[in-house]
Amino acid sequence: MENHDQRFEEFLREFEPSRPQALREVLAPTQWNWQRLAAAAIVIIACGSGFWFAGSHHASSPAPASEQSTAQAVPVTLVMSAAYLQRLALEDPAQFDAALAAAAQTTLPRFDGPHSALGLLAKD
Amino acid sequence: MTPNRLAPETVRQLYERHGPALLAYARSFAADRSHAEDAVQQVFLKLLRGETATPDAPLAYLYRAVRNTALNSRRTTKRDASFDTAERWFSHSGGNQEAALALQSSLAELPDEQREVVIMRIWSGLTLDEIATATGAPLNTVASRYRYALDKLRERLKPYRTSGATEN
Repeated sequence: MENHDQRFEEFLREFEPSRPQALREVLAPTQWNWQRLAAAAIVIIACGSGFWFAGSHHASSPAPASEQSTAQAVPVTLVMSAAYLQRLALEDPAQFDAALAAAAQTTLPRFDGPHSALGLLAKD
Repeated sequence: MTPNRLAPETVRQLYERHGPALLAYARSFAADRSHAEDAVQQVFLKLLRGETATPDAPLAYLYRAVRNTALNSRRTTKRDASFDTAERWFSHSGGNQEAALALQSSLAELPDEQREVVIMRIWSGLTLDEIATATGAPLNTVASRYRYALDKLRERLKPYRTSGATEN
């Protein structure tokens, strides 16, 4: 009887159960952390380099000619104190207007630039 | 203090050696093959991650854990195990696919407790003692289940056995 069973067991072993998929490997926690850290460092370096490159490129590119000429024409040392303007308005209205116009070149939003939204509105 | 855990290499060896039998075992409880695969993978991944302390009898533990996980999955999906004959659980070393399908349907017809004893014994090589430990059933009960299961399978598979292997 035992022999009888053994032969049948051998017959059953001729059948092989189908294999499961390969075991999904799990990364050890320390390895996982290092990988995340390295990925974060790469992203930070990439972003930093991008900003630096964009900034330096912008700084080194020459300003448009019209902007350069107006900037040179305006006195940089103009002092816009309330007392100074008040005195000019009383004593010399013409110079007061000229001073306001000159100060507006540097202290107020410009609307004479090539890409100025204010300029477009002024034209309308 | 971290609990003892099986070495990853040991876990992989267990998977290589017993994965197929465990998959067939899980397949008889899970709703379909993908759920059975998930159940087997979950149990091994817990061992790999060290989420389970080293079991005294790893193989017995694996069978118990796979069975519980597959049954939980079946409860979650609210689907009974369906034994689709288009899905191959077994292949025959001599290429007799008809016999493989007959074995598959014969196993599916066995009661759960008889089927598990056969799978553990034939395709995982456990002794009846080890099966008793794994299932928590008395040894005599396990031996009876095995005998009944073999008798049924022998009867069902008689047409597929070669004349030399057929006993009278």
